[in-house]
Amino acid sequence: MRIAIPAGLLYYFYFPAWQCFFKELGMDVVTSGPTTKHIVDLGTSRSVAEACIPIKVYTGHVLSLALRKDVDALFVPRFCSIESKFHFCPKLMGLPDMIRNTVPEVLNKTFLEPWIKIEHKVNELMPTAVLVGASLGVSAKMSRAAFSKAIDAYNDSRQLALSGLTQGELIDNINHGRSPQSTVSGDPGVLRVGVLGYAYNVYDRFLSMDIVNKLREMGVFVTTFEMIDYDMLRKLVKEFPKNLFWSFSDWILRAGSHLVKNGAVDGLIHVTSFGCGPDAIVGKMLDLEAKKYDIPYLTMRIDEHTGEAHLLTRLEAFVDVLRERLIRVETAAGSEVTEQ
Amino acid sequence: MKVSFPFMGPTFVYRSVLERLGHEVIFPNRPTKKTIELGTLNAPEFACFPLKVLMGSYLESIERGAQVIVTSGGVGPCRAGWYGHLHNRILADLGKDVEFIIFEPSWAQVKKQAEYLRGRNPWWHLVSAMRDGIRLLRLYEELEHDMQEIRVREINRGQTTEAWNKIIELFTRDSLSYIKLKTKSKELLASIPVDKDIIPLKVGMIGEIYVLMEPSVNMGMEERLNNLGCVVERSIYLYEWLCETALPLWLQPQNNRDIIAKSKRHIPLCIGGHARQSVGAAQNFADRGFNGVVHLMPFACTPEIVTSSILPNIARQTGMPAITFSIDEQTAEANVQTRLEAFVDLMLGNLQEGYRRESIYRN
Repeated sequence: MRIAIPAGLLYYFYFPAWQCFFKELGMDVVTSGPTTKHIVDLGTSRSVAEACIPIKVYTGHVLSLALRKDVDALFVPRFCSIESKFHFCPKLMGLPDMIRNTVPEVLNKTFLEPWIKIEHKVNELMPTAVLVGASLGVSAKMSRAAFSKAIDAYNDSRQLALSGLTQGELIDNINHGRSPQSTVSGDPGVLRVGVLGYAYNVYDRFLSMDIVNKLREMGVFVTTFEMIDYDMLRKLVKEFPKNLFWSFSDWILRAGSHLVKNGAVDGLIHVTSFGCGPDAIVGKMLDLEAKKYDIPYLTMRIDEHTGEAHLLTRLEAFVDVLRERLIRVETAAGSEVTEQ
Repeated sequence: MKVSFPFMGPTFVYRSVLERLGHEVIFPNRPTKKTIELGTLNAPEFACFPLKVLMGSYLESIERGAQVIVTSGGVGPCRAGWYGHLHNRILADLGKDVEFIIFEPSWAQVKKQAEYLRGRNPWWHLVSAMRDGIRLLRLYEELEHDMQEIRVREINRGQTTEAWNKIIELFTRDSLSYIKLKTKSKELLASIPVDKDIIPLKVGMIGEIYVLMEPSVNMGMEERLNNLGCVVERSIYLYEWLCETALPLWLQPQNNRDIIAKSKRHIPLCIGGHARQSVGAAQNFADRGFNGVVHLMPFACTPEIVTSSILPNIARQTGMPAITFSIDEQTAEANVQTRLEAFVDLMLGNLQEGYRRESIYRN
């Protein structure tokens, strides 16, 4: 059987685990490949006009897969929570409901819509994994084994990310069959910028125009949220009156706060999509945090109309500002020394 | 301490409770174009519309001397749960010295906040203040329902709205006793000449609570529909909403339970905001033979985007037309009016074909 995984939304975070799980079940895994203009057009033609661009892109990926004859099953998980008192964006929680209504073609295939709902530990997902296996005709024993392997694969991918590999590079490595390796690109001594944003915005090359590599080409050392351990952040960042109740948003907000507070970056870029609900709050909070510690902050908002020249111009201008600032600070420090 | 609160629907109820407890209340102004401008200026661009309106509203109240703001919190997944904290942070950044009392849905928190509001009053005082508040609210909602039935049939256009404004004035001035208030309001409504032969269209109104309940934000959607010959029933009334937030499902009014039961087919879990209620209510309105459904949402409201993805299919399956209005500071009146008129024409067209005629005239 051939399982199709749409290459959008949390694919950019959990694909290593998903791929491992279905491979272990003996399935053939295909993805819809990188986002293209065609996929975006497919998505916008079906989804609600004011949905955010990642949802439109995802709809496009699903439709392109649903129209393929060689695909037997589609994997569209419903993300409810990955820890207690945390949720996902309402659009992710209602994702299969939305897809069933906007892309009715999916009902011609086996439509896998497992509930990803974890309160305390990841093993709570075991029954879900067995159910998914059962709907594909696989024994419970095999599903359990595959699930454990998938968890290992996920943990490996986290280790790699913590060592400095971006989630985008991770996924690329898997898709090109390259062996995973951690390579820290760039020199942290030059100019350090935090690029914060959901994996599906930052690493979708079509949407973000590959912002991370563009910055690296300018000689910037980039830090992203997945390179910082979330559990550590929860211990370190305590000034918020309550948790931001979306897992990844909370992670990003804490990462941003941590980076500016400790002076680990010279500038902060928030990559967000037009009409993103949680980011309206995350963005403003990051803005206020950056302001508190006097770190320049840039909002990079992307949608289906974003042009590459526009993005590049703004990035270059921002990096120039940061460089100027650094030189100013250095000369100021230098003059202080001579005065003494 | 001078206390203020968000402006939503029958605001005088909140004031009545707070004043009974001996607080000095800064009554928030009805949101105007200026309020919205002020809010839009200071709130994040992509925050949903209610956050912006509240932002402006708070700033105006603070100008008038408010020191404490009482509002609701939440644990997600809807953004509204973070409103209080974000407002607090933005106001602090603007250099405004104001305290926030945020009611979070946890008993420990509610107890702490209630303790604060109670001050030196005994507990039964708080309970009786709340009971009277709820009685006032129920009266208001009953009158509102009667008023609609009259407004749709009024002979002199505008007379009911005039009377209704007087009634609101009576409620707001809060000088009459409950019984007097009730009789006076009923008298005012009864004095309006009506054409009893009119059989209005029945329209359900669903969507996000703030834009649904607050006429000054949704451009008087209910009045517009009344004037076009439709009676409107909303999916959310404040009393039902209070039950929904405070009580377990089995203790809630029948209507709430029906709506949840009917939403299961479309959205099987709570995904935040009122998406589940909206979808369930749309299905419920269709089953009850309504002529159409108007869906209101703040621009880019996350849960309601899920609703608006599902709504066209409900409309297709049940044959009941539905229309979505996404509301923000850019929404223009002419646009809303034109689309509403077209929608009413569509519903009338359905009638003339004999389509679902029976269910309309049975009433």
